[in-house]
Amino acid sequence: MSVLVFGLSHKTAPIEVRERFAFPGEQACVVAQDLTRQSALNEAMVLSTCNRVEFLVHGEQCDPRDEILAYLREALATTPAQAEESFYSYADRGAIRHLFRVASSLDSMVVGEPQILGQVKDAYQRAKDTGTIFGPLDQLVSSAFRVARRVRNETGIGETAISISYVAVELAKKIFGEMEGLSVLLIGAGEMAENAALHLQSGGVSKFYVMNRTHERAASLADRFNGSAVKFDRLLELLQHVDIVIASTGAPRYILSKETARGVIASRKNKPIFLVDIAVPRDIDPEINALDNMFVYDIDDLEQVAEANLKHRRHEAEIAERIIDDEVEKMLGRFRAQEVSPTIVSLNRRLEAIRQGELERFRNKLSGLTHEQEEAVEALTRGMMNKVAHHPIVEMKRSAADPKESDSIDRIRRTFGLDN
Amino acid sequence: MPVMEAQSVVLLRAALALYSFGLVHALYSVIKQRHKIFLPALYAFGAGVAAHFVSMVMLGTAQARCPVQTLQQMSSMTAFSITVVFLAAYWRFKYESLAVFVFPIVFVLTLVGSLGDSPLAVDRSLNRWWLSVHVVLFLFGYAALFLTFVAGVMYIIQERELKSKRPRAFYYRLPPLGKLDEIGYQALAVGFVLVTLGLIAASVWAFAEWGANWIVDPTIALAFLTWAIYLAMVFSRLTIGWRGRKGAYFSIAGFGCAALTWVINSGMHSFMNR
Repeated sequence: MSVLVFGLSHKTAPIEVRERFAFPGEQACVVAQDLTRQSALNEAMVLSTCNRVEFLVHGEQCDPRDEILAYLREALATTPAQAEESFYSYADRGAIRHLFRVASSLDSMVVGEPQILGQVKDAYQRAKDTGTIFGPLDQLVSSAFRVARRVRNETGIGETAISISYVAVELAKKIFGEMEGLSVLLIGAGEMAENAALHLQSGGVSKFYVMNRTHERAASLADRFNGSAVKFDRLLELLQHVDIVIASTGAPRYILSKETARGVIASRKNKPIFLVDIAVPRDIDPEINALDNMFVYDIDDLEQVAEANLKHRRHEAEIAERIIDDEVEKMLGRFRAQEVSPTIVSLNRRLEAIRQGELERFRNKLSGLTHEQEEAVEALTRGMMNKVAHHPIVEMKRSAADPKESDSIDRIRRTFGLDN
Repeated sequence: MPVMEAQSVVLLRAALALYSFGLVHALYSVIKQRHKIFLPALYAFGAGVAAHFVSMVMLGTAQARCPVQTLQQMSSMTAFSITVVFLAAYWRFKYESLAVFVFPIVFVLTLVGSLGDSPLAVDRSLNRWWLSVHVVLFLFGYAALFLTFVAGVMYIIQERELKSKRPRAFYYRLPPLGKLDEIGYQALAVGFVLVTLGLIAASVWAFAEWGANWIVDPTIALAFLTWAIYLAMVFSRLTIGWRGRKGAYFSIAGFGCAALTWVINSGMHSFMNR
């Protein structure tokens, strides 16, 4: 049995190349069907996302790389040789590892991003619906989902934010605990502010106030978030009860000074407030961070947290790699164990055929035997064959449990000529 | 030692072993940030507290009095009450990192409790159920206030992480500030009520027994001082919204006083031995 991954990704090919090989949606199924029909491949699945196009195939002892390339050349009409150099391939152990890493988001452009698992699931579901995946490949991809779950559960790989606007949400969660029921004031309605608000909204915040120099812009943004547009003169009043402030005005100096902030926090009865300052030059005096229950983060601070998170993620990715190593060996073990029993059956069959053949050859010379003697010959030959089969069978069972002896079953199959 | 008391010590040691396992496992799951594997630790704490409870009931039955008579018994009962409070807090808030801060002290107290008993106090008066009620109320109250203290310490650490803007290990492992504040405040409310009830129970009984001369006893004064600190905490929180870092420092001061009260009183009030 052999499993092969053949494809290209953001690591080997730029977008100009990747987009040429993309097979969105149903097209991927057609490709998989064509491949299984036209070649010696048993199963095929095509994973096509914006960062990768991969063919996961399974067949009996064949190297389908050239076949796949030939198919692509024909199907796409344009495949310069230079693009073909971007393709990588992994076989068996390498293929299993690669699939596990992809599903667990270790091979992603942004390591730990959660979308890839869903994309693999979609590809799998389609392949299953069209019947191009059913046997060992099916088993392998299902295991990949389990491995991805394990990685997610046992490492913190996807837990921390690494984009700036999402870092703001993460910090808000670290300050307030829950996002439900919090209110946000956007001072300045630029694109960055909108982006941050979007993230806060998906984090659970539902109450938005928008302030802007041009009131129309404030009103239109407020509409988007079901919030209300407010005038600048209500700033102090709003600061008394909102929980998060996102400031991004073009004002040349601080719109919130430390003195004002002192009054604000007192009138809030020390209810914590999170001030995110994404304006350059800054809108909020950074000294306010020194006041109790007020947390000020400017754009550099957010960047710094994002970097720390990224480092944390990389560390978690190392743990994830160890989990993958472990799971790859388990998977190989399962595949080997599945090969053991058919091999034992065909070995026994082979030996029985030899025995019957030899008995047949000597049929004439043995014709004078009594019934007891005949039975003795039968028992004798059978016993010999069982003894011959004994050690190979023990060896196969042992090697199935031992990851280092992956080719032992193959060797036995060859030795006894079981594949001819 | 009678059979039942011996058995109770065996059970207490079993509880100690379960607590230790839970503590080690909790440490591992918090350091490695594997929330999903905290469950065995939780089971260990649950089984430990059950064994602990049975152990105390057996001891109490054998001696025909509430097992809060000696330093060892007090330690054991305190450890038990802290564990109960922790389990309640975990059930409500689901933060594993609390266990890492709470169980070292539970371990030490249970260890002291399982070291075997010093001779019983001769004084019969503590046999009164009133007094037992007063002691148990205090212990559970202090256990809740201990949780306020733990939440306060965690708050200060987490706040420092957030103010520094350079997240390090604790940032990823400790609960959010808002939740720590909530835990601390709710534990404070429960603890304050229990301690107040304990004080009332004790005062009523002491007046009836001794009149008024016990009030000048320094250990009693300390207990009242502790209570006053917590009263101030509740009050400042409700009026000017003292919370956050200042509230956390307050809870540490209050707990220091409470711990002192506990240490002095886990012998016996001095006036009883007169």
